[in-house]
Amino acid sequence: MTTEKIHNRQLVFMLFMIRSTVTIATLPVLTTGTAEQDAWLSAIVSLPATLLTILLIGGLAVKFPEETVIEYSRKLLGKTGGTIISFFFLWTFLYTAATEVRIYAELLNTGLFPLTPLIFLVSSMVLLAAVAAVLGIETIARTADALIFFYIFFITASLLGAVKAFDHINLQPVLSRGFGPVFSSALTPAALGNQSLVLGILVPTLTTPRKAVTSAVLAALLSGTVLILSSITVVGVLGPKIGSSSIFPFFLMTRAIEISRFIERIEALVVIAWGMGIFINLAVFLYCGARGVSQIAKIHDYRPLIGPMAVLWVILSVHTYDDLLDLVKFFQPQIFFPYSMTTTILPYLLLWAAYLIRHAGRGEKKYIKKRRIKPG
Amino acid sequence: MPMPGRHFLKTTAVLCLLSLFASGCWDNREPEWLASSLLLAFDLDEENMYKAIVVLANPLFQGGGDVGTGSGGGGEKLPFWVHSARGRTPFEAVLNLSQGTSRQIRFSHILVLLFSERLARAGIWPVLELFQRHRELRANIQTAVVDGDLEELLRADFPLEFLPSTAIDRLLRITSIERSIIPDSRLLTKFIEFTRPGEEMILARLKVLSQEAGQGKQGEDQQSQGQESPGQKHPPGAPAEVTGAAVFRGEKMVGWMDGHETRGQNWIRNTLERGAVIIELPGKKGLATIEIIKMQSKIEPKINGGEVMITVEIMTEGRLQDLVVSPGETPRLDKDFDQTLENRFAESIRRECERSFARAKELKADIFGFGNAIYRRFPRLWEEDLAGRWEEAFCQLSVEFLVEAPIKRSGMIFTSPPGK
Repeated sequence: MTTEKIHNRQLVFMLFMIRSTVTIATLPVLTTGTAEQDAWLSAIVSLPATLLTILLIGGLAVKFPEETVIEYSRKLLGKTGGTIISFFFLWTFLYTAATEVRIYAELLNTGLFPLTPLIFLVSSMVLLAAVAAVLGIETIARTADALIFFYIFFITASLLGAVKAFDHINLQPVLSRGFGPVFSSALTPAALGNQSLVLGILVPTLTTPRKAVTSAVLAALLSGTVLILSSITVVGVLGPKIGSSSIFPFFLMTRAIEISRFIERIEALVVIAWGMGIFINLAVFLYCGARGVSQIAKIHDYRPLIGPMAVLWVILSVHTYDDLLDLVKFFQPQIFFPYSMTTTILPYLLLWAAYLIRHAGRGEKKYIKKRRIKPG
Repeated sequence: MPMPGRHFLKTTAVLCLLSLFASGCWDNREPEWLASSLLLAFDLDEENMYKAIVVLANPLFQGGGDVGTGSGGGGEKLPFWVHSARGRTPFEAVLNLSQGTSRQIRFSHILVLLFSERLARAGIWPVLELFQRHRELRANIQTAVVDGDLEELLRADFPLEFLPSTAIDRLLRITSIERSIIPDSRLLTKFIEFTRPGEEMILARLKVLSQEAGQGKQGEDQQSQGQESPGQKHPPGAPAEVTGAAVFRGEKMVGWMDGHETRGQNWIRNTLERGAVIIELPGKKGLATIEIIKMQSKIEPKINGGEVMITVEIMTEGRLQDLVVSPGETPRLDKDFDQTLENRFAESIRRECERSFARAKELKADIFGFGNAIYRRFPRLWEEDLAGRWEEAFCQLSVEFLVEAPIKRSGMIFTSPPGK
């Protein structure tokens, strides 16, 4: 089996697109808690939490620069323990991606194609991602390279288009109800840091694994900026009340604005950017899921797994949620935050504990080999 | 890598097969089956049923040429069609429109949303809600309340436009830029005004003018008397004008405001674009028109001995546009005279604002967002005390208007050239 290598820059792009897509999808800082006009503060508050998650996940990954989380969790916790922990991660890959493709399909269904069956929208997106995943992580990374320009351009265009309709009065008063509501809205975005789990699988494919944390932090800062700017813009245009009662606030905002008499209806840009983000998102998660399963099952190549997994994915995506309200409920902080804690943070704390106990006396040199591999 | 290669071929084959389905989507909507609605209006009838009235652009209409003469021969079609239907909810009324329409109506190109006075007084939030929820309707359109018969307005012939929808859209946009005698008429701002604490909605008022009256005014000129055909009508007057505003409390309209009062509201809320102020010259010697060039205003709440006070600071800049004086009495345009003009200009603005404020108090509707300014500055005080009783507190609110209004330019001539 050939080893595939991706550049750290490509990791930044992929992580950036994965995280920003959630922003333009449901803008959780506005729709999940009660922060309302202080949503941008929630965005700022959630940033350090995301960075901590990245340190937790990426920090361990760089200690084992040639192994995936599936492999080193077995080393750290023993065969059974490691396998059990790995299932948590595999579940997150499966479930996060299924949820995100469902949100995208719901948007298309609500806003653009009311009669198209959900399964068609979901399966066409998953099929595309599956093709990319079969072609390998290099291909996905290069696609991210190619799409990132359009992605940033479309988002920037929609944010700039809103300048005319922007009213700073909508953002006041700042912090009138103290920090409580701000934290309530920051929980879900912070918990969405569980997307960084892909680091556990992707780090060994990097050309410079020891810089993985830096790359992931850079991506988190960039997407955090997008999140802060988007929440300011959406609240400034729609007002806190309408913004927080909408399901797709960013989309609603772009529908309501008019750049000039001749340039309006720019919501297509958002949907295209979102589609690109979802594609990268799905492809990366599908790849990571398949790699993980193949390593647990000791299958030499992950590719044959992708077909069956894609089918499971479609079914899970369509059948997990009865309707949009289920989705909205799932992202409420009181459900999503504990969920993410149990499936991501707790297993990693366990791994860290095992690592520190095993390697406390011996020094860390054993697993850290500084190396550099030229991109293949 | 043999694997990806083989897979790639397979997937390409699958994609090629899929493209068979894509030759036309199965929910295709041919343009020949569609009609675009350009204006949507809502009324409430005697049985409290919503009535949706739609202006449909007629796809069969051949533009250009001799429309005015409209000989009615053969397949001659009107440029638009006004259609209406009733329902218990706004959406049902909209759906019921299709019963009498031979084409599927599309709503994504609507320019204007109108309300009848009756519906406005009963409450318009159900319709505004529909405009947020529905996937074809959007908020970047103009809106107004119609003073008069809605259907008469929509059937009227606007002399410069084919369609009443375009006419009303342009009327609203142009008037708000040129005269500022209507409030901001974008639907999006109405959503926001409604949801903001301490602020009430204010919609533009579209007044229907009787076509006969218009003709009467212009009827006595000799040109038309000289013309032979008895069927030839006099050129009609304007079928409608926009001036003033409909003031809401909550979702219900509570009264009208005239153009001056509405402009006062625009001064206070910093939404004024352009306009002119007529002032009387000292010693009743004549009139002067000052055009407003720049304008900036700010609402400043403060607490003065436990009482909330509002200061409105208005900074504007005027330009002398004309001077109506008898040629012999032309005043010298010196610094002193300019100062007098400036004082009178500022005084006139202040009076306009006060008039507007008095009218708003009469209607018990805080259309200026004074309450919102207090909420933004003193959120605690607002939540604990004022939010529950803002309506009455607003009526006892004392507001100070500080106007700074220099007149900096006087057009092409310095002063009126002296007469003989």
